[in-house]
Amino acid sequence: MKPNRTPIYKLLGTPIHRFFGIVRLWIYTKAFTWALTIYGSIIMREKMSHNNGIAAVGSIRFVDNPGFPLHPFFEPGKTLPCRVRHAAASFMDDAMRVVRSMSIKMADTAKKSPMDIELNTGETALFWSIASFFRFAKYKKTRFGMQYEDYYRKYPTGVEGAHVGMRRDPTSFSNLRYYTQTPFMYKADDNVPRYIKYRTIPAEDVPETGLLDEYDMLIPTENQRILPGETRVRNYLKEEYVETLRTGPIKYKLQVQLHEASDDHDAEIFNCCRKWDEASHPWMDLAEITINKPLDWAESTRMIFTMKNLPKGLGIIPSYSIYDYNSLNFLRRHSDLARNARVWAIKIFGMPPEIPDNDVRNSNSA
Amino acid sequence: MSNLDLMKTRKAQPESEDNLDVLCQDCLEKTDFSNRSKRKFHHPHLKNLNRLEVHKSRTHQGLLTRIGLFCVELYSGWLRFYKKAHYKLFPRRNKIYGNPNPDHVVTGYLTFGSRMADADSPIFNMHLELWARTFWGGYRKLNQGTSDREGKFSLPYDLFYVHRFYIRKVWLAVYQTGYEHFSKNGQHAPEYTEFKRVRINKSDLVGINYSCRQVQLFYWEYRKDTPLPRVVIKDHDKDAPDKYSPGFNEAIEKTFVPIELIKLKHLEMIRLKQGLTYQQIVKDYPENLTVCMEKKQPGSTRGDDWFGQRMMNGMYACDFDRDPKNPDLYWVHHHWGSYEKTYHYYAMPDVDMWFELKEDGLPKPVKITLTGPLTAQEKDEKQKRTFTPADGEKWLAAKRVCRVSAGLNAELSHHFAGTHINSEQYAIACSRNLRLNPIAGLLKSFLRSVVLVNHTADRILVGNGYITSACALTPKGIDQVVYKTMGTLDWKGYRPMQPISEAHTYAKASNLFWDVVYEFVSNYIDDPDNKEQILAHWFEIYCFSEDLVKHSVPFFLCNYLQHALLDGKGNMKIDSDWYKQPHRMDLNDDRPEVDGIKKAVSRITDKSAGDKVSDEDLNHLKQACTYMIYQATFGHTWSNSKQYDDIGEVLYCSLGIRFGDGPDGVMGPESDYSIAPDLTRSTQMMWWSNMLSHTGYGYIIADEDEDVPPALRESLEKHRKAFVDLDLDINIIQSRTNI
Repeated sequence: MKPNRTPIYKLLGTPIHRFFGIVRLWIYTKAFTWALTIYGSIIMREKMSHNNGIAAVGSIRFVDNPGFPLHPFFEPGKTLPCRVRHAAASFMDDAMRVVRSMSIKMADTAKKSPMDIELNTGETALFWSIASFFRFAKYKKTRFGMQYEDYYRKYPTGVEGAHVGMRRDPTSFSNLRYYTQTPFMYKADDNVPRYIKYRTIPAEDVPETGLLDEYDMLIPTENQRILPGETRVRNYLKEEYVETLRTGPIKYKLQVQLHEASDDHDAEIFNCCRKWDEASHPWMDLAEITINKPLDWAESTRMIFTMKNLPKGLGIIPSYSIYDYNSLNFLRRHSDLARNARVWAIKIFGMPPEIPDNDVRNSNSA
Repeated sequence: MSNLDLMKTRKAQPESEDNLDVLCQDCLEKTDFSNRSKRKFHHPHLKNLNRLEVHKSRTHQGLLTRIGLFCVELYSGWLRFYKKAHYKLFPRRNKIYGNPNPDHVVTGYLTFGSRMADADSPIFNMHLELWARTFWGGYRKLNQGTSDREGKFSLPYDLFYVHRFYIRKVWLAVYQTGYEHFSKNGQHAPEYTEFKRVRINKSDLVGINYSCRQVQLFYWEYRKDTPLPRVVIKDHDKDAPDKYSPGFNEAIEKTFVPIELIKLKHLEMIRLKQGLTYQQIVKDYPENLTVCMEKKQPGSTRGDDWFGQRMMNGMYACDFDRDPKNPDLYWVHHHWGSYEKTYHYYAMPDVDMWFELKEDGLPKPVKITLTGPLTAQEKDEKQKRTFTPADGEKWLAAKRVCRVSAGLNAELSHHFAGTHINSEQYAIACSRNLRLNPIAGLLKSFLRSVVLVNHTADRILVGNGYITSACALTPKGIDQVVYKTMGTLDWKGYRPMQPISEAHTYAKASNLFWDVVYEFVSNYIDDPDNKEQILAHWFEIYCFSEDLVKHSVPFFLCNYLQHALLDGKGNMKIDSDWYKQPHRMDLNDDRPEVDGIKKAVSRITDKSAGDKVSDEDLNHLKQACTYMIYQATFGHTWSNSKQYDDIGEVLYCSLGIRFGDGPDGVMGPESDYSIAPDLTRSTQMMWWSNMLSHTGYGYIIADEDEDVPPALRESLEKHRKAFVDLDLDINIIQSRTNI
């Protein structure tokens, strides 16, 4: 009788492939980080993207009855100082059609904090793994407010992500919805492994502005230029944010979605280009953020948000190759060298210039 | 008596019918082309049919050229060997490697054409495969699939398998369904040939969805520069949608190079003024039927009996209608008056012939009317001259004009338009739309090669080719003939010409062949397995039909017939039974309209879904398929293979006749060589008729490429005796229009 055993080469196959996948992941991450450090951080003194931003300070308070198993860090009623930074991706012009972001640091410092969260507009992303991110970077080819033309040609998912995430002329950073898109680990008190996604929404139920309308959908995705006859200035969103803070605090809600982990789950649950079903994964309130005071350009530019600033049990999900959906967070976590190098370069070579309110439009530099 | 003497003294001799039949049979056997000389080692090479030219074909001769060609052939041989060895070393196994993940797909959509034309027409049911190759040369199939009705495709693949270190490159291959090959038990299997390869950068495959976007295939495109449904061929040898089988090219080279050498010799003699004569031309080419008969019985081919017999059962196979004014007579009319001509050298009168049927059922000419100039000095295109057997020499000359007219009519209307261009319109629609449907297997082998040979004919036969230089028609005039002939052709209601007598063997043979094909087609379509698949892929039939109608030429009926046949409401008059209708378009049928224009070709179906198909639709399909097969095989064979019998002797019949230098113009005797085509045109005509009649390849029974359905061959074999009784050897029926 033929023994019902799995051949040894098949048993060894998965660990061997996983080993080489991790090695490759590590090499790619380090290579990318070093390249970014040398060119972007030291030579250009710029973030990889999201240079066009404004930071502000306030506090975060975790809700009293969250209604889901809690991680000890999210102690009900706990209040922490916090900073947020809003930015526009890639271009130094608020009136362009770009993805907007919100980064939250649960401390009033430039770098150190117990927890940082980075969020973007749009529930789904434009890329989904290190491999796809490298394609995204390769096909950027920015010119005259146009970029990623080849990327959008090859990857319809990127187009969907851009349509979902881009905002044209929002009235304020404060009425947009921001999503982490990628899931994280979530180990609550009950020791049941879960995955978590975060989002922030305005504390009051105000409509989101800047969503792409039918006209914008007809414009090729790679064309992020301002519309003809645009009257808004390059810094209008940052100026609006400062102006609003002068009149009173800006409040957000931090919400979460949870997904219970299992051994046989579909890898697609980690795919940041796919939404979790809201019926089975409802958004639940986690905290309220109150922002009181804007920070100046220099302080805002010096800030570093890193995924190393995550409490134990809320970290990133392990990844095993550059094609793994979770590899994106691996790259973010392991590219701190570039972030730190940028701050050191600023200290040594000086602060990059603030974005002027001039007529140089559709520009990706100050 | 020499051939020269024969021609000079030729008079119509009274002949007995039995004697004529025996003589004809003797000469048919003697002039059988299998006895002809074949290409010898030292003869020039001919790469393919498209290298033929009316003047000097592009053959390879001369020492240096031959040495060069030897090197090229050596290299080609090496390439063939390399490909075979490569295939053996690196077989493309039909196995999917990895575990394709539906979340990681390669997508895109297939359309016809370029950005400027046809780009919005999807190509559906196209076979696609995603391939990878390893560093050591192995092929790895990652997945396969077909495009949907919108031309879209989505091929899942194993992301992690693709990125294994040994995978060197990845590509998407689009396959066209080639000709069906049939096994001994009749099962057909589609042959996929790679049509286009879309390279995919391996590092671009990063999961989820990689889009190839719009993949435009230059695939059986309709030409925009002609109102005829013709296919675009950019480069006959390198970038054509179809290709000849290698055996065909070899057969052409073998049989045709000796003929080409004769023509080259004649052209050189003409250039050097070495005294080439008509008799020399006829003597140098292989003997044809009429020359043979004249040798044995001088004058036998110029008599009235032979004339009537060939008009009925020869290459001409004329349409015999009853004379509306005298039902006892049969009337044949050739109309040239409406087409653009130049009257510098060639006469081209309209021809009316009246026949009476003899007791044996064969027609005998009683009267001929020629309308139009018969001498170079005449200008009146309406002038009519009538001749009867009592006119002696003039009657002989009138019959010669009729033979020339019938020859050109058979060549242009029956042969070129009726079978070549007619088959091409079906070949294009078939190749564009039929892929998974078993009807593709039924039709494709019969419609093979026709677009290629038509492409060559555009250059050497029509346009500025031979016919333009050998008759009064201008290129535009030829186009008009073809266009209007096409406007009278439709599959719907078609049956071959009905016999008008027992001796009408052409009509009887064609009807017998039609019945054999119809039975074969019916059995094929009614086969439960085939029928299920035909209905499952009925959308292909619907698109096939729509393409046909959309690109068909407008319906045409000449002014005379409009008045003679139709009443005020456009229906056929009751007293129009003189007009033999079955092999012509049914004028009572509603013509399909596209953009307000009535089209010649009828719709096969107006249903796009198989579950709504009625018996009427299936009957239409059977009728249409039978029509296509009939025209591409028997229809073409008849008008093509008999050319050498009927236009293989310059003074007996040619495709054009000159006014000549004599006072009677074209009505002069055969001995007045100024009437015959000039020497260049004469040798070219002999070359033509030899080439067209004697391909030596692509027969139904021989089935050289193993793509003829065995059931059809078996059915034909069962009727072999019946065909022999009708003077037709089924071995000569071609399986495609390839020459």
